[in-house]
Amino acid sequence: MSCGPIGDPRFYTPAGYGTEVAEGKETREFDGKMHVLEEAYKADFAFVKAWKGDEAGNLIFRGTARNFNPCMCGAAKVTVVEVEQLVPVGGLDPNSIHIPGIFVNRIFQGEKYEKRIEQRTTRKKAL
Amino acid sequence: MLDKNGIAKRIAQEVQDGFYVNLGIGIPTLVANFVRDDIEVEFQSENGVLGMGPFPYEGEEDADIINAGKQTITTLSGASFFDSAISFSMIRGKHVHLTILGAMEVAENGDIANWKIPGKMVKGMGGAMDLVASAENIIVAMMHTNKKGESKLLKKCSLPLTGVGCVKKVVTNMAVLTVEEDGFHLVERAPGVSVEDIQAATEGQLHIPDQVPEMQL
Repeated sequence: MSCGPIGDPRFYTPAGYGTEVAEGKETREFDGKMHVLEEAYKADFAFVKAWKGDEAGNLIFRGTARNFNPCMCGAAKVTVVEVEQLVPVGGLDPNSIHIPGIFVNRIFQGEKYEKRIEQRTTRKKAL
Repeated sequence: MLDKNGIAKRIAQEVQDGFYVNLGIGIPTLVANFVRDDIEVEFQSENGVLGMGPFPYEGEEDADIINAGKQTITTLSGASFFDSAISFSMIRGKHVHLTILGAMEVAENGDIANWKIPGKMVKGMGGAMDLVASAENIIVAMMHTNKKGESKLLKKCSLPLTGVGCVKKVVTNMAVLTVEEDGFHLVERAPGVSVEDIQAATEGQLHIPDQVPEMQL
């Protein structure tokens, strides 16, 4: 996925060697270890969620909600981003930008934002 | 025989000062609770955090701060967030010292199956295929047998593989075993478990030394 934005068509990885996901794929040994040739992931649309964005498409993510979101920016023909806060150009510190706007084609601020937690794990405060 | 916390407690003894450790979902998550507090250890979760702390207090959960198992977590001071490409660079680049994973099956040659049961819906293999392919120090935490009482330490995995020849050590509710070229080697037995019990619950080739000490927990 990270190859998509930089334009590399394919890459070797040891992940999946010898398993069903590697069936039919070219393999090659590097440094005594077997690798599988994978094609870069390229999509028509990438739907991405960021925390803050500006109207130039510059993005900042929050916490572990970053995960694969930055990786998909630019890995599709059209990258569509939903942000929680959309600010005018100049509203974000350039030092803090995680993804520059060049990888972003559409941006909008989500309405009625609802954040759901799939696995709510907590501990109790000691009294 | 150990419970899940017992397995986690034994594995915590493998964690050394200065280690970066990746914890998988399930029993491995519990390991963090038992690591000695006089050593410095940073826990990584492959969705993009280093310096993972305990679960948050009730009411302090944050939907944006979760581990790879989607559980709400906290971060400790010195923690960092990053994207999944950076996260897997840490793993593929062998910067993570120890990986602790659960498994459905482990074979005597170190093959591991832990992502898919044919016919059951899976969301994907997550980071497991990357972890097992790249990590050099993998410990599997699992029960010795499945719910039907069948051995999970096999001659050959029956489920779709996650990785080949990658597991070096297994800690179960019954034993600590290493995986070597000629099969499983029994290293320690759980309190109250006999060598015969372990042999009977192990389908794969099991090598038993003259002395098998009991785990010190």
